[in-house]
Amino acid sequence: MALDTELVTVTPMRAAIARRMQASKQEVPHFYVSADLRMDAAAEQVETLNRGGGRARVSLTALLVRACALALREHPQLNAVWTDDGLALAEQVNVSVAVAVDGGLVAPAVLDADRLDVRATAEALSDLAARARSGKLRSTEITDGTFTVSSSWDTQSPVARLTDLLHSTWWPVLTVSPFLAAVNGYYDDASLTSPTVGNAVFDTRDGRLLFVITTSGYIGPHDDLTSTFEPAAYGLRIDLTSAAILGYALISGPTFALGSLHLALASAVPSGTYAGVLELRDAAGQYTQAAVLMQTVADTTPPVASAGADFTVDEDATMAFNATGSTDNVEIVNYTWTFVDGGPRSLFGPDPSYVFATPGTYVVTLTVRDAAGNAATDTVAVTVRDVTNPTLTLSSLAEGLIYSGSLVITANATDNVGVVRVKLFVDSVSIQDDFAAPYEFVLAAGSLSVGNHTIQVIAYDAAGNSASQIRHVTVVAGSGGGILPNVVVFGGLILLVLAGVAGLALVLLRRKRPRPPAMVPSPPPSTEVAQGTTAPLEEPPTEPAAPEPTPPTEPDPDFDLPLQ
Amino acid sequence: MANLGYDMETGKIVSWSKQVGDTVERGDVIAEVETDKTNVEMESLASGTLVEVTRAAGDEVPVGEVIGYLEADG
Repeated sequence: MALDTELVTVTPMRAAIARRMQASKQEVPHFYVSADLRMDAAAEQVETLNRGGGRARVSLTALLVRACALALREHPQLNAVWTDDGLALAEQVNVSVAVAVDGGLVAPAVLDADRLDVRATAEALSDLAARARSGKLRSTEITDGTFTVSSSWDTQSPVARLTDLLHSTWWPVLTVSPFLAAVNGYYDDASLTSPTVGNAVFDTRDGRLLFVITTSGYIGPHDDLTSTFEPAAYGLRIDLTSAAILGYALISGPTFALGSLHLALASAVPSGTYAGVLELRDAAGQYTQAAVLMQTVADTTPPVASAGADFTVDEDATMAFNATGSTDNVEIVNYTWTFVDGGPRSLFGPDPSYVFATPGTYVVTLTVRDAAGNAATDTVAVTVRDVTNPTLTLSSLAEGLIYSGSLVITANATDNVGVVRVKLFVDSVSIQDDFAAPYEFVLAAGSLSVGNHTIQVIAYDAAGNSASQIRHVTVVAGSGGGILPNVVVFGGLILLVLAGVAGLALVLLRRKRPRPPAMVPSPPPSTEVAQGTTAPLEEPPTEPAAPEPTPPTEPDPDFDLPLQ
Repeated sequence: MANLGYDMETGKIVSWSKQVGDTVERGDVIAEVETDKTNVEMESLASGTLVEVTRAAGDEVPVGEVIGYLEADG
């Protein structure tokens, strides 16, 4: 498949440049030597020469041309061209200089450059540039260069560094790029008495992070009179937190007296290494840059933990915790909640939910950490309410029991937290408390009158939750011995059965229509028993027992609660 | 026509700076030449009198071709 292309006609100059660049690579032996030079002294000399003004301004290029010319005179082997016949040494030192012209580039030579002082060189360069643009170059200036200096800041090609440029007679080429002195950034935590001249400083004093250039005349490409270069330089404003370019700030020109370029940033900058870039850019699009590395000090400010206010919650209810009141100068990256009810357990995140299964009071610990590892803790006390009633059974007391003599009541009371009291009521009157298992009450013989009675047992836990059991019993006159009537020995089975049936019927009737104990007459079964016996077992029931108090028929649940 | 560039093939005579009969010193500009890169003032490489112009202004002249004759002094 053929590649679709569109052929664009270029100007003869561009075509010539392309041909010569190609020939340069193909036909000229290449090697590269590169070195970075400190140009402070040169820049100072340029400034000194230009002080006072008046005559043609001396440029750094003029200085370079002069330096090359002197070097070539000392090293004639370099002032030469390789030919098929050998190395042809030139007698004249003619230093060509790349000059931007409309639509391209030419490199006319400063003839006999080694015989010109710096100022004369500058004037020659100025003259060459003017004539190059007006088409008035001499043919020998085109053909007789022996060495070429190309400075990328006076070209119109947007390249940072020219590597090689072929002059028409392929003389050696010296390329020069705009220079920017190395900018060594460092972090100033106010421990420095004054920033070092020539360095970029990140200054975090006063809670600000500033990118400060503290020198003047140290940084900057210098103008070249022979070009259209307009002296201007810009600092690049960089938001170090987001790496976003905020914009350019004009620094100054043409000597680039740099004041302070303050870069206001968010006050909270996470610890870490940041790169700032200072970039100098001229009107022709040439630029150079220096990176500045900054290591911020570690974040040593701990966060502030807030686990929220203490609270009370029912057992088995879901509780949402909230640590969003916690703060840090940078950011909290970890929330850990430690619970100690049951086995130790941790939950994570600012707002976890948790269910407390066991009543009690617990301290929950919140630990917050920032990215630098600084931690803080806070605690919240959680009171878990007991809302579970105890359980209660009366193992020794059957409903409807008929007995004579003494009665032992055994209660089995349990609670998820603990039973603190078991109370016995007889006919709604509090009789006895038992504070510890086994819970047992003894109603001695004769303590209850013959007749029907209501026995209630209530178990309480510490939270006031309770459980109740009620039994109805009938006290009959007896030998004072066991619960079963001894009359069996003496009476007929039938009578006993009759008596039992009759007694049960009575009990059932009474259960349906409870009456005050005082109104209970002598129970018929006793009579029947007595009738069916040959001899009275004991003294016959006489008067009913002394009238008992007459509390409400049903005990008030709040009556005599143990702990309130 | 002088070679004013590494791969220059032709040069266009824009104008003659000297007329036939003029005395020419070495280094004097004798013509303005347009190459594919720029306009150049062509210098004389010798001294003498311009006796003949073989290519007129406006002509495209291959490199190495004669554009005129100088008669050396003496």
